[in-house]
Amino acid sequence: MVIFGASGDLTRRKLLPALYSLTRERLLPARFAVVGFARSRSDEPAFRADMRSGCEEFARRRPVDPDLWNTFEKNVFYQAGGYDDPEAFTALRRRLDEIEKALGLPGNRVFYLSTPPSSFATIIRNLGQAGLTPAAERPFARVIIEKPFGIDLASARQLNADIHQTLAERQIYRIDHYLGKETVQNLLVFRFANGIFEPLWNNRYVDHVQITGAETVGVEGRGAYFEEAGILRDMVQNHLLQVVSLAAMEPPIAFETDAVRDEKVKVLRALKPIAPGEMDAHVVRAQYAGGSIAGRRVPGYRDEPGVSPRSRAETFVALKFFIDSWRWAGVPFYLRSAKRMPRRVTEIAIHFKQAPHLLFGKRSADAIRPNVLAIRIQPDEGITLNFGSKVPGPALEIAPVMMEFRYGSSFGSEPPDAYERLILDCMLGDGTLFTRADEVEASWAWISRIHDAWAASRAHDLPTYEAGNWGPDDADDLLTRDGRSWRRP
Amino acid sequence: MTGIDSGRIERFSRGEPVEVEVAAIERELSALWREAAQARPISRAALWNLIVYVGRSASLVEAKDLVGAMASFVPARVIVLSYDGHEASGPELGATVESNVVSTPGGARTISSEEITLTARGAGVEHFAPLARALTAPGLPTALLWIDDPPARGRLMRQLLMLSGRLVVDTGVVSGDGDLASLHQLAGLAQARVADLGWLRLESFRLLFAGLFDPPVGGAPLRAPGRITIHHQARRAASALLFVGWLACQLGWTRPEARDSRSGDGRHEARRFRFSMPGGARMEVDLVAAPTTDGGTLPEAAGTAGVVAVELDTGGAGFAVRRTAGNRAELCLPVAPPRSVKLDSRSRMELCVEALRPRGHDPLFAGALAFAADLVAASEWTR
Repeated sequence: MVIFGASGDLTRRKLLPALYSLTRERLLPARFAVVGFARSRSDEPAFRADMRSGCEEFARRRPVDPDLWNTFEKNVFYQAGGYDDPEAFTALRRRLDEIEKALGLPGNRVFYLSTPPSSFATIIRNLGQAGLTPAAERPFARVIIEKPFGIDLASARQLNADIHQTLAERQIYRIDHYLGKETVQNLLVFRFANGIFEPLWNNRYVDHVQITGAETVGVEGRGAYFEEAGILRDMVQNHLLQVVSLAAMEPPIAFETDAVRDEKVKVLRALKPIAPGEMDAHVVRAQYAGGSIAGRRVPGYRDEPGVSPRSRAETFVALKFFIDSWRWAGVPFYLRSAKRMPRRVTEIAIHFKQAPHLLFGKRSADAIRPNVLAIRIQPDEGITLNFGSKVPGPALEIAPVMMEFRYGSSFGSEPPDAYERLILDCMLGDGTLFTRADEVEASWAWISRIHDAWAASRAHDLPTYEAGNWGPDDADDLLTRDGRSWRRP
Repeated sequence: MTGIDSGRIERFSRGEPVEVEVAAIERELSALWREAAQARPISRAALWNLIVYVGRSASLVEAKDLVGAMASFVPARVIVLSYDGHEASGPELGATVESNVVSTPGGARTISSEEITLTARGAGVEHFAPLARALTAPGLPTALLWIDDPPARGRLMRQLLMLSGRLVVDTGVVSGDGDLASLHQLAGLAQARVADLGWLRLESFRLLFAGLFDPPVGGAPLRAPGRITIHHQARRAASALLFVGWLACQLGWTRPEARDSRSGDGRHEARRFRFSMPGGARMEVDLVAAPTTDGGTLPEAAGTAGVVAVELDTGGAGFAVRRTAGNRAELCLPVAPPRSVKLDSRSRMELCVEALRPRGHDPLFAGALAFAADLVAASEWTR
């Protein structure tokens, strides 16, 4: 496996710890090598030391087993080179041939692009020109591409066109680490392996759906990046629309890569476009102001390094939208995503309709809340179902209670990290949990309309919300107008 | 491995507070539960998020005892917010977590809930609302217990109210009229339903007074011109005002004219209100503060409910409910000899539990409170 951008944070925090954990779980082949490729002039001992400290800090099981690490690190290599330098790719090829020969590897190669997006097309072109991307099934050459995949519909289309000149679609693994999370995968099992939920999963029984992707962190030194991206590009276009597609899709004909992707893309294509004149009623954006998170004062977005004092990049977005399909006709989906929220949480909450006839009197009716099925993607992955129950005693009093399933308690261990699962899937040639070209373009097509409307908007300033709060009042109004309110996740 | 030492886990399992980092409360709590469950199976339960505000550090122990005792009846995720504006030293913000463990009869099973205590001094109070937002468990209703001090209209109260579906207050601790008016304004602002421990204490008194007019007496005396005198504890007029508000709402009295008066010795205070009743008759209501004993303490018979006696005089015919010793009341009617009955003697913990049940929010309270706030406004106007 070759990691481009090996000197970056992702490699140290996620990729190497994932590979180490897979080794520890005996899920990687005994003969395996990792080559870090980056522009930095580093050497193998320094790279290995840096990766070890990353594993000590971020691996799922700590501390690192010294014996295992000593074996593992012998297969960790480093190669310096420029992404736009064809010679560096020729040198990389020679190095890979040498390593494979020395270790007796069969020549299967995975290239992981953890670089700035502007380098994706160049790297893939250079890989192709160096003869590193043969289309053969065995030995294979596959490329994992990190997000963001484009910044709008036009750039995503262009990038797809560029990389398709070198790679077949089946060689491309566009990674969205949300799809590697156990609960996201479990969503399909929950829906399609249980007989009781799918019959309720439609507009007859579902009142509305809420999706929340909240982070407590701010831009964490990535102010310049966030100025260009905003939360709509950073979170919604990829992670959260993928979650929407899994929650709303029709049953696939089989649990196979293209069967699942075919159903997901139908959902993304069925997202009803928000017309420019409907933006105010369907979209709320805002920026965080200073406030308090986890007991400490934090600055406002415009006071972050690299952020313009007149910035219009949104750190909060709330959307109301519909999916034009038989299943979801008339069911509003409310989605919000933001930085500097009170707690870090990603969840899907299916709010069911109220019982059609309330038997238990007005006073009890006040206490009866609609059932909510909440699927927690992170942290504390699990599922809860709220329902009303009679309070023990002679009076007929009803109180909401909750049934809860948590991975940690039910299976006795925390689920594996998303990167472990996705890297392994790529090696096994299973693209089910990766996004296909048409999915990316369909989600950009929907998102880009919102960006276009914002670009055309005359609004000078965005509303603000205090850090540590659940967003601006306008976001509450989005639901209040419909007689609903945000669930506190 | 979590790296939690066994002493901490043991203390946590026993229900003792364990200090945690403010920034990692949820994580440390999860780790403590996980480790504690290694030793024995644990059933965790929560029906509410219970945010308890303590405005004086001297009341913290009492508040924690209260929520600890409530755990048997209402398992909850408790978040105690303790602020002391006078504390000069110590960290600005601190946190402890503990378990509230309840054994089922026979001890075959224990059910645990959790309690997070945040203590702040100085500017640390600014972190209370964001932390409460972060720490309330999803999917559960949230109640705010603000019972040791009169409800304040400050920023913290407003922020916490935004989180809460129920506000539990105690008009039994309200000493000034302004506090009652504040509570009425808060009730108007909040989406929260208000439950009042003072109102719940007053319940048996209201029922006994209303019972005086059951058949064969009937309600005619309440519609005739007359005078009602409500004796209440000094500096505890809120209960009396709520009692008047309740009567007014039930009997259709119009908004009052008011007059204040003060007795010569300065030890007791009286207020008179005049109301028009449906049909045009007038009812005068006197609120009379009961004299304190020589030592300045309140009469034992008053208990904590504030109202000591309610008397109706309709030109010769007298009806009365008077508190007597031993938490009893004497009922007086013109048609029968006086009789003594037991008054409600629920503890504060039992009242808090009641306040969280559906019956805790009494729709009559909102009307009585609004009327009482009008009485306060009328009193201020005539001062």
